[in-house]
Amino acid sequence: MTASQLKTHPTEDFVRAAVAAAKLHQITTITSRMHISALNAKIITAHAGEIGRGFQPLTEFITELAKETTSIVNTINKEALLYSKTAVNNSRTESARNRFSLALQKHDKENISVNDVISQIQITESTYAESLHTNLRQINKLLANIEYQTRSAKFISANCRIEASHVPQFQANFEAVAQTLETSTDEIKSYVSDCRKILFVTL
Amino acid sequence: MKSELLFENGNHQWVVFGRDPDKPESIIDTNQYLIKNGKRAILLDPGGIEIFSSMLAAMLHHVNIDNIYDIFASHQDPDIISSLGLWDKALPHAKLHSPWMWEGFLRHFGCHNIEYSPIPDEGSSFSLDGLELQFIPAHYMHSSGNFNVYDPKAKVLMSGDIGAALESDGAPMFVEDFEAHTLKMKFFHQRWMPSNEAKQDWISRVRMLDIEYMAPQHGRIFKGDDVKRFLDWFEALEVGTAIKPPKKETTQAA
Repeated sequence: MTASQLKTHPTEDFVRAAVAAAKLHQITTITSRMHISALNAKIITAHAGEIGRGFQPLTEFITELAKETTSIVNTINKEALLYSKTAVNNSRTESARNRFSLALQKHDKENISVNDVISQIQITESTYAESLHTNLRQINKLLANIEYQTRSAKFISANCRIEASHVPQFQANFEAVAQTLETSTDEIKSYVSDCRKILFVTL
Repeated sequence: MKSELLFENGNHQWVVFGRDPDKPESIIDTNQYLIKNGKRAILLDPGGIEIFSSMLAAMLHHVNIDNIYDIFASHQDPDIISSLGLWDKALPHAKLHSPWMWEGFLRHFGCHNIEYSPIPDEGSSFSLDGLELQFIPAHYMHSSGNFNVYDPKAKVLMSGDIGAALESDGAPMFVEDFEAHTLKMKFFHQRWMPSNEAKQDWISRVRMLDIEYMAPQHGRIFKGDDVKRFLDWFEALEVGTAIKPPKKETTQAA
């Protein structure tokens, strides 16, 4: 479901969270591609010898970037799935409360025991609401971390192109690495943006 | 929850979901299935309420939620469809295909948005974006209103409780040693299946189908020759064992 479809056809929290988690999981395919690109770059750097020395720290950074982004995505995934599960439980609890309340309305006299049950359910709902709020804040933070990583990646990509221009024999190879990094970064940004819209996360 | 591709031919796929490590220990393990064809998908026996979250999350790796317009429930058991109230919220525009006789019962799980599409006793067929699926009668196996789903192109029969086995968590998805597997199936079929007559009726129907995979709702999937081995084994098995036959009276000679 696209972000725009979700806006016009609002769905339950638990569905949105599960959709966002599935979308984010696709980022791991992109980071795998980045990792392979970094490995290729390391091989080319080794072949280039002394003249490719300037490229070595960049390949290290790309490798770390891919690993770090994968790690953040996996954490967000877990948080989003936890959010989805909590939202399901919240939905069931709300449904239970409504039914008990309806039972109380149908009952002629004040019933302390049913009131007690409803109070307990309301406490549980508050706990779930707090948990959902904490989850969303954490997801927001982690999405911001990925966005920070992508900004760094843009900077590195630019540096890759500069270094590539110093090594004419390997320029095409190094530029290909820079291009992969740029494309991957743009795709990741797009997924993150979609996820924000899906989750309606606001600070 | 784990998922595995059972069949693939271009846009036509069968996916099996199960072996959820987050499943509460006290509930029976179940297999759920998804058939995709073109732009549409149908969920078969989507599972109980306790595994709904895991099932939703796993399913979304394979299909967009707006491509699911159909759900199938083979019968009324909670492990099949007690999640209906939540699917009703997640897929408000979907249709539920299920035996006609269970409509009033399944609505107890909560069904305000989803349209109930009753399947008549003799079965019917259903088109999933041009792919014909058949709802094969399997009444009294064990439920009195019960259907299997047959995909003639994929040669897969989703057989519900027939072929089920009681296994430990994390069992393999496919039968590897049929003889050893019968030990896990025997008690279930003897105790859960009530009628030898119904059993024979089902076997006669299914022997006429070309089946490469027989996919039950519990336990492992049968592949290739194991399908025929199962039918032969099941045909020879006496079921309905909770009711003992009455003792025959004998008169003694004077």
